[in-house]
This record gives sequence, structure tokens and C-alpha cells, in this order.
Amino acid sequence: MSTTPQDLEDLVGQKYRHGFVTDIAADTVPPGLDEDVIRLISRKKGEPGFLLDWRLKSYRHWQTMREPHWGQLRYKPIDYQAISYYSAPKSNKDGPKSLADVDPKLLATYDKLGVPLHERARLAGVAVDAVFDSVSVATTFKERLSEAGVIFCPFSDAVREHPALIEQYLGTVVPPADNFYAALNSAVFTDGSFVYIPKGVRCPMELSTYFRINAANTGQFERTLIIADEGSHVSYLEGCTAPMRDENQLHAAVVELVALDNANIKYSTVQNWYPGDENGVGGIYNFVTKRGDCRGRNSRISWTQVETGSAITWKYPSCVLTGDGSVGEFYSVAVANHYQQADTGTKMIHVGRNTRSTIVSKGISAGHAQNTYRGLVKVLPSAEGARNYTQCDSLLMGDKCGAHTFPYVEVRNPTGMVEHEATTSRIGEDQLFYLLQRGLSHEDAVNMIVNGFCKSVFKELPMEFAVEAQNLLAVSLEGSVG
Amino acid sequence: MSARPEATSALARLQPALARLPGTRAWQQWRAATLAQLVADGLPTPRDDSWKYTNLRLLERRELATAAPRPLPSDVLQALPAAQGPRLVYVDGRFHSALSDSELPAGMSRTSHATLLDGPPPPEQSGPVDADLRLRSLNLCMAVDGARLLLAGGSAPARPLEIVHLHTGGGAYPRTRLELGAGAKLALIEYQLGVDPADAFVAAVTDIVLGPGATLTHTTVQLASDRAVLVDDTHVSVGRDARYSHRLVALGGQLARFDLRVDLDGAGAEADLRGLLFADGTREQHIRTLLDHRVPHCSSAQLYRGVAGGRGRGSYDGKVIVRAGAAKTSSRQSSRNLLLSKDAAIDTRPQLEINADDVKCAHGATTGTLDENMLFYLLTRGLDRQTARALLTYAFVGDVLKCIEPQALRQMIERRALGRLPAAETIREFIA
Repeated sequence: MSTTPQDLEDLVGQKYRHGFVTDIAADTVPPGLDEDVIRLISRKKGEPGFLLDWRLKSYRHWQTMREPHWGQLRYKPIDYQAISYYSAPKSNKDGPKSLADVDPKLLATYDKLGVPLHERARLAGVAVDAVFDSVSVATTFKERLSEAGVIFCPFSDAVREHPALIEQYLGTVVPPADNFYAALNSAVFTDGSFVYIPKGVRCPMELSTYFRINAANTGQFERTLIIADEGSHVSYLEGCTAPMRDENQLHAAVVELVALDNANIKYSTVQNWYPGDENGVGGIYNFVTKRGDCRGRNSRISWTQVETGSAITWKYPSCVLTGDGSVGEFYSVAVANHYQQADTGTKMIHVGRNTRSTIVSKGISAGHAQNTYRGLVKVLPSAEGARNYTQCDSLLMGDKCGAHTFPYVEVRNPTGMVEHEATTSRIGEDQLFYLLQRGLSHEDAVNMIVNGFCKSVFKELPMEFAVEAQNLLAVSLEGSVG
Repeated sequence: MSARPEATSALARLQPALARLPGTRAWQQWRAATLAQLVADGLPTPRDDSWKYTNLRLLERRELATAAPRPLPSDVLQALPAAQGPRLVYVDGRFHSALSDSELPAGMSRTSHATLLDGPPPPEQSGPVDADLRLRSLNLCMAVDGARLLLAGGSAPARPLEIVHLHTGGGAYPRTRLELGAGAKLALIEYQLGVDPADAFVAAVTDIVLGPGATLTHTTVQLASDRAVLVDDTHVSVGRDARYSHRLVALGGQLARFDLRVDLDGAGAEADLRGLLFADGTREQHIRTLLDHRVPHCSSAQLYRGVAGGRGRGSYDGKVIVRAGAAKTSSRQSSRNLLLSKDAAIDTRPQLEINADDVKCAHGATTGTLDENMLFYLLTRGLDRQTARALLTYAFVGDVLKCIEPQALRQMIERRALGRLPAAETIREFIA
């Protein structure tokens, strides 16, 4: 078995399916960042004083920080002064009251992306808080959710309507000074989603947000905050696509999850941003800080991610297991093709007694891509009876790509039990031979093996995403194996 | 000038000692420049990635210069392990002819590092020295003696060669180079022994080159004194179809770190590394391995067991690199660690960096305490808890101990390892 030149041709010939640009007038701030830009963002969004102070404090701290370079990533230096930090669709100025008020071009964009608004939304049973560039445009199913007492709204609305919750929780999981990109996000974030599930409520539907980067040279700085109060339950879906661009676009999002006693948060991501062309030109730089805090007893936070896009991925969804008996989970499929580089993984910090965590990571590298798993499992002295199981498998397709595994295991309590396993290999010739012999085409056989390889992660995805993820995987890797 | 002025000052204090070292004027100049650079760079700290788990701040108050030769206490000589073969003894890095055997294994020739000091020094380092190489650089700066051994092609001495490093306090910079010709076969046993309570600092460097088809079984027995700080840097190049086996038994020292780098340079090369790290009391035992698969058709296996009790600390930091084009590589890496007390800690970082697709690489790491079910089984057989725990701990390290050759050496090491466990006398009956 070997990769034939023809296969590679097919592979590099793979075009980005979601590459298109919606041409609508955008209200964009000139490139550059200083305190005035932050004040402008804050003013445009009508924010209370505490938030502006918080932004400015973050910005001042950010200026003292240095960009991290410990990742197994290579890219040209980012000029943070060449980025425009605010862009709002003009059509949104008066605030659309219903879908009818929404710019039809926008709706057409969602249509191409398959966002289930209108009846499709109802049929799919998905409430969509769609973020178009930086300002939320349409929100559905708000009423049904509010009946259950669930707050699900754009972050800027939450700032106006629920300032107390924002002030209480914002930055408590990812402090502004946490890292370079989190500090930048804290200073300039424009919008995002806010979810609050009250005590004992099981959210009646899957919550979903689509992010899409639209205006050129606009950094996307999302801020998501999800709070699950005692005994509540929520499943949140996040999916992304971005139009084709020649220049690299920076994305530095922050996601904070808070789970109180017996709460359960499931956060699923399908990330399919523009990965750059077959020569590694362009593509999204994705520097994301995602962290969940299992603050309450027996709480549970589960991250599931399917990463197929972005030129650079720097992302470590983590769990801080503070509450006794809390559970953290991380399931990930990361695919890197062409010249994509992914440095992704998780951190599980065991603080409380009898805390448990599971990590299942599947990395697939093809073309000239570099795919790195980097994870930390830390058992603090207070974490009596902590338990972790980690499995990282890598699949290599082609001899120009790389797959790396950098797990860190730090145990400070003897009652803890931490296990780590990892394997790296290519698709087994015997497996492939078996399937070919059963009459499957080469392509189908490879797809089947790859899907089997990822199955333990896909089964954690909500139904809607599981189908999309499998298709995405097939598209991303079409023809890349020989 | 550095973030760690205390440690730097320990290096700076070495400067007057340079004048006492032998060598040509060019060497003296080279040493002065190298040490000045080291003083500027400072010792590695946990901020340097490859030193993340090892902190050398202990050296702040240590004397790093080598002490003047002095007579050895007689009890030390009696305490030396029984010789398995011809023996070369170095005291604080200097050759001790009275204790050494004059006859070397057939086919082996020996010169001293000291002869190099009459020749030209290595080219001068410009700019900061990489954290990985600083102690190697310090060793070359301070080394005055050391074995340079060559085993002629095809030779296969029946008995092992022993190199014994005795530390009496102060700095020691042993430097060993061993080259095996094509098809040569050798067992090498290296001891790091201390005179208690020696406040020793040992920065050892060993370079090994295996020619085509050569086989080396290298056993390092580290029984340094309880106050010793020991940093050992071993670099092995394995040629075509050659085989390198390393066994590490680390029982001594206050802080000991073993850096083992193995380059698989020829097709069909093999490396088999096993090690036992025992960190009881307030001891720190660290191992870092780097296995570099540079060419196709090579295989490597690593198996490390760490045990930490009391307030002991340990770490395993192992990296396997598979270079682009190194197809048909097979690599296994296993690190299992046992924590016996509340204040013990072990960090592990098993890393894979793979740039070729036709490979089979796997690693596994576990950290935890003794299995309650196993313990329960032994209790039902009438053993008391302490004995049961000691017996299980002993079994845990058995994977490493059982492959130590020759038998007499294994028995000596088993005795030493057992002596560290509670209820040693009782469990001796079980395993006799």
C-alpha cells in the first residue's frame, strides 16, 4: 500500500466547499488596537462601566504579555495592529425584530451553510443564535426556552439584561491574564453566546450557534459563557465554516463553562474553518481558550470536538474538576491535511475528591500536515481517589506528514490512578486488503477504516453533528490515502 | 543577570579552580571562555523545557570544584561490590591505578582524556549554550581524566568490563568514551558510588559508538551517597545492525538525573532500554530519554519503573523521534510508576514525534498506588499489610531487575533494592 501521485493530486485538488463571501456593507473600525478602539467597542455595544474597566485592565495586561511559541506550530508573525477589531453588518443597525427584517443576503448565507432557520429550524429542533461576524442577527426559539427559564442570548444582550450574572461569572474560569490570547479576547471581544440554565432544569432542546467569519481582515473574538445551575442539564453545539480568503485571519475565542452541583454540560464543536489552499496559503489562525469549571459536587463537563479546518489550531479545551465526584471528559477528532498544523489537546486538573476524567483523542494527518496532541493530567494533593484514563491514537496518511504526542502526567496524590496510552500507525494493509477483498472500493474502504478509527469520538456527538462530522471527515480526506 | 543568581554564583565560584587544571594555554583560554558563557547562561532551570521536572537550585550552596586527591577511607574499599570482570576505578573523576586492574579485556585499548588536553581544544562556543548541553559543556570544561576505550572489531570478551566512579565530595567530572568495532560484543557495568556523607556534585558524560553489528549491554548502577547530586549525560550512536541494551538501577543520591540519548544511525539498529528509579526519603530520581530513529528498519523498546515513597520525587521524560523517511520503525515505550506515600510525586511525559507514516509506535504510562485487590489477596493468605505492600513493590520492579546480567550482579542489586523496603527480612524468604 502506498500513496500514489494520482491520489495526492486528488487530495490537493480538494476544494473548500464552504468558500464564498457574502457582499454586504459592514461597519468596520480601521485596523489597529489601542484603548480608544476598546472604548469605541464598549460604547457601540452600550456596555456598563464595569465591563469597560475589565476590558481596559485586560488590554493593559495583554501589553505586558508575550505571544506563546511552545506549540509545535510554524507561522509568520501576526501583526496585531493590522487587524480590525470591530465589524458589524450595517443591516443590523436598527435591530431586526423578526426574521423578515433580516438582510436576505444574510439569510441566503445561512442557507448555503445549512443553518436551520425558518421552518427548518423548528423541524430540526435547534435554537440558533447565529453570530454573523460580530453582532448576533437572529435568535429563534427564545420563547420556548424562556418558558423553561433558560437564558440563551447573544453575549451583548446578556450584558444589558443580566449584568449581575455576567459580573459574577465572567472571567472566573478563564481569567483575563490567563494567557496571551485570552487577554486579547478579554480586551476586544465583540459578541458571543450566553447561556444560563436555572436550578433543576433540563434544557428542552440542543442549543446551537454558528460562527462565521465574513468581512476580510477582521479578527473574530467570540466570548461564550455557559452557566449550569444546580441539577441542570444542557447540550450545546457549535459549528463553524468560513469563506475563502487569501490572508490569514485571526480567531481568538474564549469559552467559559461553569457547572454547579449535579449539573451537566455537554459542549460539542464541529470546526471547519478555511484551512488554507493546497499550498498552505491563507487559512484561519485559530487560537482558542476553552475551559470548564466543575465547581459543584458530582457535576460533569464533556467536550467533544471534530476539528477539520483552520490553518493553525491552538486549542486545549480543559476541565478543572473542583467539586468532589465531578467528571471531566474530552473526546476529539483532529484532522490535518495539506499544510494544516494542529496543536490541540486538553487539560484535566483534578482538585476535588473522587474526581474522574476520560480523554480520547484521535489525530489524523495527511499531506504535509502536522498534528500534535498535547495534554496535561494533573492530580493535586487534595484529589483523593482521582482517576484518569487517556487514549491518544494517531493515523498517518503519507510520508510527508507528522503526528506528535506530548502528554504531561503530574500526580501529587498516591490514591490517584492515571493511565495513558497512545499509538501511532498508518492504515493497516491487512485491514485494507480485507475490505477490498469484500468488494469495497479503495475510497470506501479507507473511509470505513477512518470512521471506525474515530467511532469512539463520534458516538459522543449529538445526532445532528454525528452525521455532519462523518461527511466532513470523508470530504476532508477524500483521495488522501493510498 | 540571570533569573537564578544563586546558582550562577556556584558556577562563578568555579573560576579560580580553572587555573589548577592541566592542559595547554589554548585549553586554558577555551575553559575561561566556556565557563564565562556558562556563568552567563546559568544552570538549567525548570523554565527550560527539557529540565521541567528537575530543579538544580540545590547546587546553589555546593562546592563544584574538584577536591585535591586524598587517601580513601579503608571501609570504602571493603564496601566495593565484588568485581565481575576487569575493573577501572576513577576517584572524583581521576584514574586510580592502585585499585584498577592493569589488564583489560582482550582486544581493548585504553587511552586517557588527559592526553587530549595536550592537543587543541574544541572550537569556541559562540552565543548562549542550549540548556540540554550546558552540563555537558561544564563537564568538558572541568574534566581532567577519563577512559577512552576502543574494542577492536570482532572481539567478544567473556567477562564484563567494570568502570567504577567513586565520589568523595566536591565536584567530579568523569568523562568516558567507548567505541566498539564491527561485530564486537561487550558487557559494560558502570558504578556510581559515594563515600557517605559526601557532598558530591557529579556531572558525568559518556559517549558510546557502536560499529556495524556490535552489541553492548550497558548496566549503570547508581549508588551515590545520600547527599550527592548526580547528573549523567550519556549519548549513544548505534550503527547498522548493532544492538544497544541499557539497564539503569538508580537507588542513591539526593538528586540524580540520567539523560540518555540514543541515535539509531544504521538500518537494523536496535535499542532496548530498561530502568528502575527508586526515590525514597527525600530523594529525587529523574530520567530523560531521547530515542532518535534516523533511518529505516530500526526498533526500540523502553521500559521504566518508578517508585516514590516518603517525600521522594521522580520523573520520566521520554521522547521518541521518528525522522522523515525512517520507515518500518517499531517503537515501544512504557513508564509505570508507583506512589507509596502521600507526599511522594512522580511526573511523566512520554512523547512521540513522528514524521513518517509506515511506522508502529506505541507508548503507555501509568501512575498510581498498589492495587487493592492484589493487596487483599496477600492479606487473605495471612501476610501482614506491611509485608504484602513490600512484596508487591518488589514485584513491581521485577520487570527491570530480572533482565540484569550477570546473575551475581543481579543478586547484589536485588539485595540493595530489598534493603530499601520495609520488612526486607521477611520478604527475602519469599523470593529466595
